[in-house]
Amino acid sequence: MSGHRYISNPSNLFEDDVDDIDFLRNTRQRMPSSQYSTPHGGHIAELERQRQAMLERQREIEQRTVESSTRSVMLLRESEQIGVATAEELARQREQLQNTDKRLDEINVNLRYSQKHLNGIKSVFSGLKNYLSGKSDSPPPKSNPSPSDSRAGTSSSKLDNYCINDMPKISNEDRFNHHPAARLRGLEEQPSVASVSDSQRVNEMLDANLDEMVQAITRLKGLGSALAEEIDQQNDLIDTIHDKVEIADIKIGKQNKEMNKILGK
Amino acid sequence: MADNEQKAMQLMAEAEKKLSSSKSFLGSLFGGSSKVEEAVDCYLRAANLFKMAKKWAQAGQAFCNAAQLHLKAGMRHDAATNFVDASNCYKKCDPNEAVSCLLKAIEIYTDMGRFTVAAKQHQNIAELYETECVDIARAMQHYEQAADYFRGEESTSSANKCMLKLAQYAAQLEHYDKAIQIYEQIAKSSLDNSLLKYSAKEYMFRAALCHLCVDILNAQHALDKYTSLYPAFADTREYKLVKELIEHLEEQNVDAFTEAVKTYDSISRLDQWYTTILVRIKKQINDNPDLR
Repeated sequence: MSGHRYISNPSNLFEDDVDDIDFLRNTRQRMPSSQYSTPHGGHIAELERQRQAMLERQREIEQRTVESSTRSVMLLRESEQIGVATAEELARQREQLQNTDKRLDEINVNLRYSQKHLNGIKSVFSGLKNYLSGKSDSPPPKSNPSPSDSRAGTSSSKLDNYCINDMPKISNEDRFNHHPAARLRGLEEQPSVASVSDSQRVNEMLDANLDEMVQAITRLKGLGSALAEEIDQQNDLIDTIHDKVEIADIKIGKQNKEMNKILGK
Repeated sequence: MADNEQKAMQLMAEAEKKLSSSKSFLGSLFGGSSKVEEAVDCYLRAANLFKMAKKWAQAGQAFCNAAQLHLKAGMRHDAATNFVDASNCYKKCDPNEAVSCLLKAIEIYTDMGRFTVAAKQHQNIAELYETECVDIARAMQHYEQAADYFRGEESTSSANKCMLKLAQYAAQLEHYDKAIQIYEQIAKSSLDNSLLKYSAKEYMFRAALCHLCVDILNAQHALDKYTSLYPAFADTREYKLVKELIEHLEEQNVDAFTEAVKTYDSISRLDQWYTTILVRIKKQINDNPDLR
């Protein structure tokens, strides 16, 4: 009987076995002082008391286990919520970065025009140069947005595959769960019912919570990978934007100097 | 600090003098524009000094003056920026004035065709109406306007953000149809995006709750629709909660209803919006005692 009790303990990682052993050692010491007349009956009563005590202990441990698994589920859900909010924010940022990219392209075009005007103003010779190079007035390469978009497309397909993969896994868990536990998924917490099926119910609740944790962790992993992808792509976008900004900056500085020279300041 | 204020007042006086002095004939011929620019410069410096001295109203006033001068000089972009700066200062003392400055700035931006910036300012106004001077109807108006402009500029996620706020307030004001429409639309569109599909279940949950406020059968149909769109929805806690709530609603069982909500709340916190809607749904049970 005591062997059975000890098997149920290792399931709870937060239990320190020392307490239990000490407790049992203490109860064994109390055994000689029996209240009953017949030593045989007293022995049985003592064993009965021990058993009750151990049952109590077991209930406490199970209670703690279930509570800690519920807390884990709670924390996982919170993490998921935070992850989801981050994802939305990242999506918004991506749009802003793409907008910035487009505007920078426009800025570069405008700078090219203004450079031409400046050249025309500077001298007749440069005006001629302008006329000659007037034909090469093509719009700037707008190819930059499309690689990043196509990259987004391929990455989303990879992630879709990933998520399709995790959906069968969930249904596997479902099938496994419906077999032994045909009850609600850990939504009730009334462990005050003292019966033999108590530990069985606790096990079911634990199983349910653990399954939910598995699902939540799988989702979190998917979220995490998607976030990582997104951030990588946005990093690339930022690098492109940085380069364009530097080019624009140099051009603007040069044109300012030319204008100042022309204005004779 | 008082030092800054005094300097600022001096600058304001200087600026005004410059403006009035430029009415002289010679001045307007030769140095007319530079006088205006100098005046603007004075106003801006004064405004910054007022900001340092924390005299928000006067800072706002100075920015507004600068903006008016910019408008007269035809530099609309600078004018709009100054109006936005003015509104930032007014935010701290007089929200209505801040709103009016922002409206003027929006006018200028829409005139120039800069709709993204205009949309951002509409969002700012809506936030002001949300927090400082609480006027939910006008906040909703501005959110709607902002969402329209964002959509026009193809910034769907910014548009979605505004629409979500809109749906939240619509549901609070019992315009459930609108809220349901918005939530369903956003949920559907976010399913396509690998990053956003994790938030789809929350929007479906909200839409289902709004359905529940209206009609139980609707909610049931809606749940089935969402599950067909997004099969994993059926595994979520949200779906199970809504199913339970429908059950308890049909049985008119208030205690079980409260129990289910409390259990869900212990796992993941329900914020104020959710509690309001759930309380309304619960009231429905009490209003229909015929099945008891």
